[in-house]
Amino acid sequence: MSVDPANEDLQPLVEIEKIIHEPARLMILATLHHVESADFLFVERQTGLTRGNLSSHMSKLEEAGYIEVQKKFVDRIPRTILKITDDGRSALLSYLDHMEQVIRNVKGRRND
Amino acid sequence: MSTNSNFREIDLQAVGKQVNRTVVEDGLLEIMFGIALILSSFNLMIRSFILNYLWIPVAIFLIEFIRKRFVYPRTGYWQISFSIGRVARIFGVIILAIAVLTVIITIVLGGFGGADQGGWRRGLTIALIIFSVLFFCFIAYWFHVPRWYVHGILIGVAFITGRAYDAHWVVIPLGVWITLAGVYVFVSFLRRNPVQTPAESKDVG
Repeated sequence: MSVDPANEDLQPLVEIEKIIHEPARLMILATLHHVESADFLFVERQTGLTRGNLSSHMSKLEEAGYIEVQKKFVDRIPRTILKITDDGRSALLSYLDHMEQVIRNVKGRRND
Repeated sequence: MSTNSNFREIDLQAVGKQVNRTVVEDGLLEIMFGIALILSSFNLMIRSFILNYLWIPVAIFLIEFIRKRFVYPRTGYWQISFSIGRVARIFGVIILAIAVLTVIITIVLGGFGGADQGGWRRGLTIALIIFSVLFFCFIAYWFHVPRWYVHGILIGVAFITGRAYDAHWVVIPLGVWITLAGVYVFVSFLRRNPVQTPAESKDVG
């Protein structure tokens, strides 16, 4: 889909990183940003997402290379360990800077 | 959102606060530090910190053991990130500077040979109190847990009232208070966070 807004201040919104822009995925990355690693239950509890929802978004983030997912046994219980990658961390910070620019543009327009 | 807001700081700070709080929400750190304070009073009697040195690895082991059995099944497993921000680094440097200063004061008061035994105890007590106040305030700030400021203030108030020169009157009751506070927090934590059933505990992914 190509979008070419007449309002140039809206252009950054067109270029926004859509993988991260989804609120659930943003919450997952924001949570993992603050830990070395965490298991599925921890992320589920921190984000408040349902199990299926979290699993689905986790797959998309893994496909994009923003998180690493390891499955292993800890004390004979299967655990899914999640960790944000360097690409994921850069993409998250870049997205937030991008959003900040959008907000500044919109506020700038409103004050004109 | 104010015009001076930083989107990155607002979003990540809020999430970071909640994530970091998991380190202290189970009360185990408080229990271990309260016990360390109690042990410190005995250290002052024997004029050695051997009990605290022995307690550190025991406390680390106990925290991890208890978390594996009681905490992680409730909250999930996480490994804290040790990348700390600029403010925390500055705070750390200040604490380190105070630490060096109090060691120097202790040596000046007590002497290398420990000849002035009253000065030695006074110096150690001062060092202990300053460390404890700064440590608790740092934890309260870093992990955003206001009750740790209360612990730090209580230690400071006790010092100011002049009872600090007789360490047992200060350190033991404070250690007991902090330990009991930690036990209360731990029990509340267990009640608020039920263990997942075996069917629920299989994570999906």
